Amino acid sequence: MNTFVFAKLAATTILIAIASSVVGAPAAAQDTQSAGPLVMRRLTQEQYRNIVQDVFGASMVIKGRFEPDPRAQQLVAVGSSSASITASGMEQYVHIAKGIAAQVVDEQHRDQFLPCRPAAATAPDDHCSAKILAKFGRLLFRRPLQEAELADYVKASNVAAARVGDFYSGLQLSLAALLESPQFLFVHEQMQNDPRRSGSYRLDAWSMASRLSFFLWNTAPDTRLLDAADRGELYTNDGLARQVDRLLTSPRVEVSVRAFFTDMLGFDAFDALDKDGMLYPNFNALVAADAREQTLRTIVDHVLKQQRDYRDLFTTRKTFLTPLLGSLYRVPVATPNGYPQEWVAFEYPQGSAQAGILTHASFLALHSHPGRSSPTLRGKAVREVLLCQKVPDPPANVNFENFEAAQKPGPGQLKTVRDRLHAHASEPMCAGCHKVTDPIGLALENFDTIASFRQTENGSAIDTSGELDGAAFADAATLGKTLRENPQAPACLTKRLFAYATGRVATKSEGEWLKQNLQVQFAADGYKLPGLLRRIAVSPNFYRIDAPEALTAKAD
Amino acid sequence: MGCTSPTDTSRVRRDTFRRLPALASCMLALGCAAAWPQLSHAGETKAFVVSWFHLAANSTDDDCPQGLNPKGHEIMARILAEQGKSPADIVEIMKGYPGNYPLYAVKRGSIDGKPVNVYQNPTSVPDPQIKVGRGRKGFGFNLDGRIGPDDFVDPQTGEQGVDNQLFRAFGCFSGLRGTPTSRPTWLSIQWDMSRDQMPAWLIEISDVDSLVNDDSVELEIYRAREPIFRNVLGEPQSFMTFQVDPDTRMHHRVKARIKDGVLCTDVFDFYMIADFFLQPEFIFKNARLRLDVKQDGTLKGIIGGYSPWDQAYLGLAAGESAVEGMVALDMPGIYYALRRLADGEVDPQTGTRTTISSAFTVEAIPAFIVDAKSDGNGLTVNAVRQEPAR
Repeated sequence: MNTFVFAKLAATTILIAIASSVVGAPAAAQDTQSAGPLVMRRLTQEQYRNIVQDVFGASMVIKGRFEPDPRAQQLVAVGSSSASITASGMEQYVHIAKGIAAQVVDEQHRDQFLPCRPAAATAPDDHCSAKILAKFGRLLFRRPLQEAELADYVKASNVAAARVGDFYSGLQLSLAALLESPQFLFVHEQMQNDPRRSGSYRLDAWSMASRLSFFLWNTAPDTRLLDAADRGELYTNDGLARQVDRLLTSPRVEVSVRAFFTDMLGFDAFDALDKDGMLYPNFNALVAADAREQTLRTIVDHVLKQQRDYRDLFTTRKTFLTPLLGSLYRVPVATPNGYPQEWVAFEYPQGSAQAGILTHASFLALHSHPGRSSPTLRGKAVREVLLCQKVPDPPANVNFENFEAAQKPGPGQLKTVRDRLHAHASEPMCAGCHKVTDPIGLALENFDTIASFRQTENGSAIDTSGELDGAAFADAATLGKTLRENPQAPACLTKRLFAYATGRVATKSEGEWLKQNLQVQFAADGYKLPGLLRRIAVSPNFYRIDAPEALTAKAD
Repeated sequence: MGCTSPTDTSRVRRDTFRRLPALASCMLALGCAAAWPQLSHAGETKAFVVSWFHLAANSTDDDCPQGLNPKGHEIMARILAEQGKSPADIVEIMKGYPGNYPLYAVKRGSIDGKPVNVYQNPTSVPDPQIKVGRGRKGFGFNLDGRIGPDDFVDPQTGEQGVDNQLFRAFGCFSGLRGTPTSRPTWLSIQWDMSRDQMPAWLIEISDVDSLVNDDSVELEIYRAREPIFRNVLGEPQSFMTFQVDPDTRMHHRVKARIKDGVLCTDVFDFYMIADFFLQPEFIFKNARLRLDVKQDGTLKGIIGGYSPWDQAYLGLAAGESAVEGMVALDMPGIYYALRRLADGEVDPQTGTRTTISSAFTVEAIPAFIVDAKSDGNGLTVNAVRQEPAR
């Protein structure tokens, strides 16, 4: 190892120690080295909107329908890596792009958005077109346009301007083309040789900027980050740390934290959530929206603003409510103006059944049926969403006769869902999975399908006792405490965060890094999320790329 | 058995606003299918928001022996005849009904030979002698302590001498008829269309040891600062939170008792600002309230008392020809009938009766009521949820 490399390694170690001490953790050992493959991710709808808003302003109206964001490995962020665009989807992107471009060049906005005016509005203008397209191209493609690329867009703009006799019409065409390009719609990662490690690869500077910005702000890199990439600063530990800290200390990091937990908790399912209006008339689209927002506000406040222990999300009595949510939980929620969807901070009293996000409507209602609760769905969600454990899908030929017969009123009626599930689980093909899901979900049976509290079901008392991986609990509140103490909960968060940041699940070497370094440091840090975000973002591992098979074969 | 009309005249007038307990009034209906709503502890407070409020009607097949009052087109034909139109002209003009109804109806009144708005001047036309109800069974209370020839027998309680002359005045208009299971059409439309913007009405029952039998509870009625919020079925959303309107004119407190699940109050005076589409004010003097505490945690009952009959008229006539034609309500006829049937207070100066006995159906659903006090930063929120007894 030569002197230069050794010095660089020492500096890196010092920086990591400094960073760790800044966030209150003891100096950490150097990260285990790891790497993973390149991915190409389609922009999610939210990312698309964020980028358009950042580049063109909040007044930009986006009209059109987006392709659904697919989910894979429990995350939309991972699903985006395998998403393409259908023909009809492309039509919509074209439609949306034309609408945006038209607004940028219209008389109301052109002076605000465009950095120059043409010499004549009725004719092409090479210089002005190039200036405008270079500016927007860099922001939309998240890297400088290559000379040939820019020339193509300018030429197209000029040809159109000449034909129509209007500079702005020509410009509109090329602006729309930028927005329709796969270079915009997909986050392309580019790799290069890593000069610090012979035979190894890393993301190029602009790909680093993109990965960092989508991770911490859920949007494309801003001008300052692109400038840092242009200057090569992201290749240095100091330069990278400077940008990471800038992004982390911005209020915009809340956007990404929201996006991450929305993804991890599966909140896109709210779009299709429905409850039987005859049985539960108090549940409507506004209540559903508030339920989703309640959990996100609680999480953001807890992990980001208060910087508290992530695990306490399963036990905290503090939350935010609107009067509409109060009608669901049957608690008074008085607000300054009395609006049904006005938010106030709220704390349930000591000993309340409502403690932790498992008792939020966002969890309870999302993982239930339209007309009744579901311990199985709720237990499955705890396992898969919060503990990263896979529950097998039910077999295709499940026999529900026992379960359905047991619900019918009459002498043979099994009054509580616990009794009915017990009857169902007597089927040998069903017992195995229900054993790992139902005890967890049954702890939440004091809450019906819309999260209203109840003590009985069909006149019989509800038994909420159970155990989770050997740890007993008595009810929802103690389930939350049990989950808090389960080491899989913070480990799962780390895995999901990494997958969210990279668009794929961890490789074997990355998995070791998560386990041996990140999770250990997360624990030492008191499970504070900002520290975890920073560690991932400043670590060289986050930007290391596995050599593709073709290249290694060639090298061989 | 229901409430007997109390002889106790210890009326609790609209009280000076008393600060509500710091803890929010909470109610927890557990949805128990087969039992009364549970109390968490003795001396609990239950809160409700009024979901429905309309004339307590008990229309029967035989309560209008002369038939129902004329329909809208019949009223118009009569107006045209009174205005001297020939039968041929009437046939021709009726082709434009109902669109042309206002042309002939609004200014059909006459004062000193000049046409006037008949709804604002109902005595500017002769009394059309509308048909009024003649039934024997009607909801309400024996307000005057007497059993008279015009009184009803309450079909729910069997109480005799029930005074509800308002029901008689309205009872033969098809748009105002109703039964315990079918609300009077126009009156319920008025309430339904008002309640999205009209501040809600609140009922609070405190010091409750039992919702079945309790010989001493306190009932308070307030106006809220917020209107109701509708659920997916179009009904008011239950368990919403309401802040008490500080206007003490609409703070009421009265003693009550619960027997066999029926709450009955002492006598009190009731005043509530309502909505111009409904009725500007609701006033019940010498009022009493009877509410069934239902097993689903809701309330349903009757409030009865003497109400200014001109308010009842305004509540309908404000809609002028639109309501008169659409709902077939002969407005001057209603005015004359109310004046004729009024049986309440006498104006010492004019010698005429100014109030009429009436009874209204009240339905209420669980809610939360909180004190609208400010600590300078907004409202103080005491978000305490009563846990069920374990």
